[in-house]
Amino acid sequence: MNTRLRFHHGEYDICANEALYASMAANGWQLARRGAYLSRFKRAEPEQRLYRIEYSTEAALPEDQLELYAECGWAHVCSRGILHIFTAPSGRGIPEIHTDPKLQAPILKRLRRRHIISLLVSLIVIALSVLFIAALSGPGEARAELALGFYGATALCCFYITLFILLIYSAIRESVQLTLLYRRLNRGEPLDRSGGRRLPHRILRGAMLSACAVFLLLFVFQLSCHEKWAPDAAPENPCISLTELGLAGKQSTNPVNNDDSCVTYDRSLLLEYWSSDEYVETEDGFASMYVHCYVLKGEDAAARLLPALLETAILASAEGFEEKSFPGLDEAYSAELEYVARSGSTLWYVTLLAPEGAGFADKAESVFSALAAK
Amino acid sequence: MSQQPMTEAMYYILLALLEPSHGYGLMQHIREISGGRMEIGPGTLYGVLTRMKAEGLIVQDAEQSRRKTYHITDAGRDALAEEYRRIKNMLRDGAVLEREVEE
Repeated sequence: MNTRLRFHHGEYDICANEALYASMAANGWQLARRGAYLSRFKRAEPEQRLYRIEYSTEAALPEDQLELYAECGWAHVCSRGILHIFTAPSGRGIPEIHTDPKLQAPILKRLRRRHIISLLVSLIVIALSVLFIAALSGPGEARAELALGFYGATALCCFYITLFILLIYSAIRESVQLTLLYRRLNRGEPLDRSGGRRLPHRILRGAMLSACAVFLLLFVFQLSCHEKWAPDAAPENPCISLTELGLAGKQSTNPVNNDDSCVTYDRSLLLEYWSSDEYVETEDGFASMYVHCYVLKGEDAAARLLPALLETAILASAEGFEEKSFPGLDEAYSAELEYVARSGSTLWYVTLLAPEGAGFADKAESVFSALAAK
Repeated sequence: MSQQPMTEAMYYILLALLEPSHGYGLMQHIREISGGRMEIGPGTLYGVLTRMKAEGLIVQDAEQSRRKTYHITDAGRDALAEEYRRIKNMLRDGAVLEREVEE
């Protein structure tokens, strides 16, 4: 292997990055390229080298500046955006790039302003996006969608939340670092290249990165738990079927997308999710039923999630549901074609489209009765 | 004409540019005229040259070769003379300290 990749420090962690590159060169790996999160090194003779990071306000440094640095012994290694990396052999009396901290300070001041503005713009864009989504679907429904999303894909949500916190933490830390660096240089003190205390930051960052990796692995594991069966081949499950409602007939397909009837199973960290889509051609006509069943880890969690099912019902609004009392069910709500019920830690959301003349005395009672029997 | 006191780097760069020079030569010349006391790194030098160009104290040659040569302007000479006078006056005013320093 003649090349090697390594995670580098944040863009404004100047001294830590310089020390990393110098240490890699001492171990026979010279910096070749700096990417967004990783730096690429190429195999070389171990050598004591100095690395210095320069920032510019433009993407590229002027040619005469590069020539001047080269004449002084500083070779340009690579650039990424406004960050430029130079190297020189150690111990040859090559002058430092910056000898007057006060003259270096204004560059960092400009960078800090730029960094804070981009951080604020990002936060404003995120806030506006959240407001836009809430305005489109109404705050209640948006909250309900988020709750269902969190329960249904907990590992993925935790991954995004941890990643978001990590990015915000990194951005704020960089702003603070730039401010401290600017103040130090402005006092006339050169950059502190002695190493310094970075352990708490490394632990915190490492913990967040590890958490991200664990949540992602859990999500992949949960995806691999997905199963799908034809209704007659499905194992015992908490979904009700049209047959249980007395709507027997020939299995059919979804008239819109031609999908076959099926039963699926998924899981997340907080629940198991069963779903059944059934299409049947009965003597009285076409019947279909969609059952979403959430098996949570406790009754309280199920009771907390139930309002989200009412809010996110496809056909009726939350206010369109009528509360019912039904033996065997802790909570039951019905609308014209939709039913929501809870028994212990199990929640159901059922949509039933039955043909006229199917002979139901009370459709809601039939559905609730079948659910209670589960 | 420069109103504010110059930084040490600016003063030595203008002083060295009484003879036109390119960047690297300028660094060596500054080291010579300061008796090795003044070392200016290339990043600092480039920053000061850029600032002084913008202030009209120096100009840069049209590209004759790969290296660009810097020249001091009349405004640069005036600013340097003004700074020299300021330093000289300060030295004169502080002459009273001469005996203390020697002791």
